[in-house]
Amino acid sequence: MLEIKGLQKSFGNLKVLKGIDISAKKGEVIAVIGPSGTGKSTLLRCINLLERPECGTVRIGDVTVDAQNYSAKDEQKLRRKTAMVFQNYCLFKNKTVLDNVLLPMTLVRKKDKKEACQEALKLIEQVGLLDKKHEYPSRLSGGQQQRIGIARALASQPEVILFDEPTSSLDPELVGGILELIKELAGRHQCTMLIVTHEMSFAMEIADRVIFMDGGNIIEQGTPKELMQHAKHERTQKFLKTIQTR
Amino acid sequence: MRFNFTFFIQCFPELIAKMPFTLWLGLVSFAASFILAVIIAVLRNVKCAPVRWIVSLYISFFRSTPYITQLFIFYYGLPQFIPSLRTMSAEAAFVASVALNSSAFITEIIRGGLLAVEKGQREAALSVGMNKFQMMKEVVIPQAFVSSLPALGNSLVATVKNTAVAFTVGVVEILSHSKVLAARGFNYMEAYIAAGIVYWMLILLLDVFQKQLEKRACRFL
Repeated sequence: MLEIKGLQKSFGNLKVLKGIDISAKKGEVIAVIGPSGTGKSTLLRCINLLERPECGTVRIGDVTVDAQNYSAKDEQKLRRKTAMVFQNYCLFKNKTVLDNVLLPMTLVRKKDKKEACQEALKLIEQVGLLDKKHEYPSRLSGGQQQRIGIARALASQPEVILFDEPTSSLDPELVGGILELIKELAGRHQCTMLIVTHEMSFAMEIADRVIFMDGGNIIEQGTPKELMQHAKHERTQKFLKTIQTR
Repeated sequence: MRFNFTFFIQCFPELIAKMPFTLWLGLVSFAASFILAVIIAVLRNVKCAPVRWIVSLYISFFRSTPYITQLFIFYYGLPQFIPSLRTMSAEAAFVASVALNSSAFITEIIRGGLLAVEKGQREAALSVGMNKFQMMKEVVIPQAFVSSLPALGNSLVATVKNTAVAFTVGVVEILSHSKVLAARGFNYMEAYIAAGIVYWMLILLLDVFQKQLEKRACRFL
């Protein structure tokens, strides 16, 4: 379903990803945790090629992209299999809520406008903002914007959704609602989810598997329970400890 | 010496009659500048390095020499070497030289507008699977347009006022007509103040138009 092999990425002399391998089944929810600056976000951004990796391959379904040799067409094919939820929402500012959700359907999936509209309204309803459908993003709170960000991601019917710290720029009181929504959608939609997050209890609760990254490598992975109770590596134990005592 | 009020008032109908022509000349020049500026903005980003060098040379020259020099080179100088340009009307020379000149400035405005669009907007567009063209058309350009509106408005105002320079190559617009009026009875003050007021009215008109446009275009802010 999703298969990443030997993914490497540097910024100048700084090696951010040092050969990442991940494979995920359809519908699997994977939380990626680890200290800041260890390449978690870069990993997500390499999967949909917002960053160009130096080497490695990414395969989603029937699309395989080799980092050393891919065309603009391959790039777009892979991106159509994924969607991203951004840390700072990144809704299209010049579009209404409805249009934000509609665009991936009409423009990218070339769906019939009327059908797309119904589907979009359904998604907006799922994230609980039907009454805001004609508002512009600037009129919404951070939490509301992120709900629409999630609806927009679902609108492209991706096989993989990449969540890049979806709650990091939200007010603490709004975080719970978004996490709740992601949990609910994880149950309802059958797409694979990769979630970079610092919300440890959320990660442990929602994820089928937790990946701990440090220094551009995957140090350890396993079910939340395995990692919480029997982390093998000292680095992992230390990280989880500092998080828990916080 | 006293201000000839009757004459002053009499100037207006004749000068106002020149308003549509001046406005037309300004708008045509601006439209030509804008189209050229868009082309330059695109050429600036092509892969071929020599094209980019030529474009920067172009921008550098037209931004760094006085406009009136460029007009003279264009209207008086060029026909000396290109005989077919001898039949060129002063109006055509004016529009063409303004287009060359202002486009160098407007292309900078366009660049600024594009820079003002947050990186995340482009990334979001790509992440849902849009291609570059769709990204520009649906997301980037509409936002860039809004942030460049005030500067574009300034440019339009400057271009319309600049039509007064066309006077120097013999185009009969508001200023040159006021000179004719002034010469009739040596009422310079009256005629030129009237000309100034007519220009002012013209620009006020443009301001109203710009405000309306901004209100429409900025509704998402």
